[in-house]
Amino acid sequence: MDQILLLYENDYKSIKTVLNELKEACRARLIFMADQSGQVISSVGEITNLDLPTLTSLTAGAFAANLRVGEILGGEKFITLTSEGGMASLQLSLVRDRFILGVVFDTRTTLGLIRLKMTKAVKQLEEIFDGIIDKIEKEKQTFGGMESPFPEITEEDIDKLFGDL
Amino acid sequence: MVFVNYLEKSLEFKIIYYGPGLSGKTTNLDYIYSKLPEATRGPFTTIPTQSERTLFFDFMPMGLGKINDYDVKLSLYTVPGQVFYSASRKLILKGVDGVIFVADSQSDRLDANIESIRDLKENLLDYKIDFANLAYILQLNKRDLATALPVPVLIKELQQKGEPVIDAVASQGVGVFKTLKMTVKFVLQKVKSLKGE
Ligand SMILES: Nc1nc2c(ncn2[C@@H]2O[C@H](COP(=O)(O)OP(=O)(O)OP(=O)(O)O)[C@@H](O)[C@H]2O)c(=O)[nH]1
Ligand SMILES: [Mg+2]
Repeated sequence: MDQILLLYENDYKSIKTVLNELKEACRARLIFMADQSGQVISSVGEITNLDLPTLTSLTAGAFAANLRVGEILGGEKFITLTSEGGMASLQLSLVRDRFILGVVFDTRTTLGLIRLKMTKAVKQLEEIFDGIIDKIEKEKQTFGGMESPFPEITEEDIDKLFGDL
Repeated sequence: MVFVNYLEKSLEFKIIYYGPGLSGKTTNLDYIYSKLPEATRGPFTTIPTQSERTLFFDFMPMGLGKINDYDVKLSLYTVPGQVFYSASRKLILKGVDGVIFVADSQSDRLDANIESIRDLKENLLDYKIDFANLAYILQLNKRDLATALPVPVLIKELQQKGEPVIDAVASQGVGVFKTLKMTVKFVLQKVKSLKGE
């Protein structure tokens, strides 16, 4: 595979902890981590009535577009993106060039506080992700391939996945 | 990017419909959406221009059944085919695990198909995604039209690496699920080995 992210229990829990602490510290409504391609990695907070994959796919698209705009303008990389609205606002930040941290907030807090607390969380998340990526790279090298959770996938399994479709 | 979450037991990946303008990419997704039970489909999001051409992308999350107790989830995207939106097309390709190339079978679209494949390969190269190793399917769409070129001609012109070729009439749903199933199979076969290269 060109790119794969394997998230083991411990790492997943560490990510959740950082997100929860951030949520408390800045009184946010919802916090999410996504891959730059738009896949949800983890989230905490109010996600009722909200389709998270759609939110992350759209924010990843907007974020990637924003990064490119920064490049075209020739300045530094636009590694954060702010969208402010009345009911809900959104602050995004790049994490280790490959992931996106998003914070949805309202008037219970301020953009200044959000930015401050996010900076710290981004550092913590970068450490966790460095560890995860290291682990994946090492396993690739040691065994020339990793232990897959799906050693046996048959035609039947795939047919079953689709049911009657 | 294939994403495996051991705690929540889920396996997720990203599939993109690529191809020239008006080849039927959005139509493929529309059909899939119309056939899925509500429980397994997310909302269908489309960012169109005023004339219903895709401006940025279409997106639909889709839940499949389980494999080895793991929930399999797909993110389906279409790119905007119009030449003008080249930059957006490239952004969407980021982290892709499988590509379905939707070719327009009409003879006057042959050059557009060829140009779009060239554009795809160039963008993949920029992301250092190895095309030779990518799960890739060629769908020959609009087989219902009188102006469609014969299948062998299209295969000769468009097939890149011996990939499976599937005939389709997306507007009637013909070949749509067959294409998707084949792509999912290819991606899963790669997950099976999880090799570095
Ligand atoms: N006759 C015929 N028409 C089709 C078929 N598939 C799609 N169409 C029509 O082709 C037109 C363009 O289809 P779209 O799915 O919007 O094309 P697209 O590839 O998403 O185009 P862009 O968004 O501009 O890249 C629509 O009018 C469809 O109804 C087909 O198999 N046969
Ligand atoms: Mg379209």
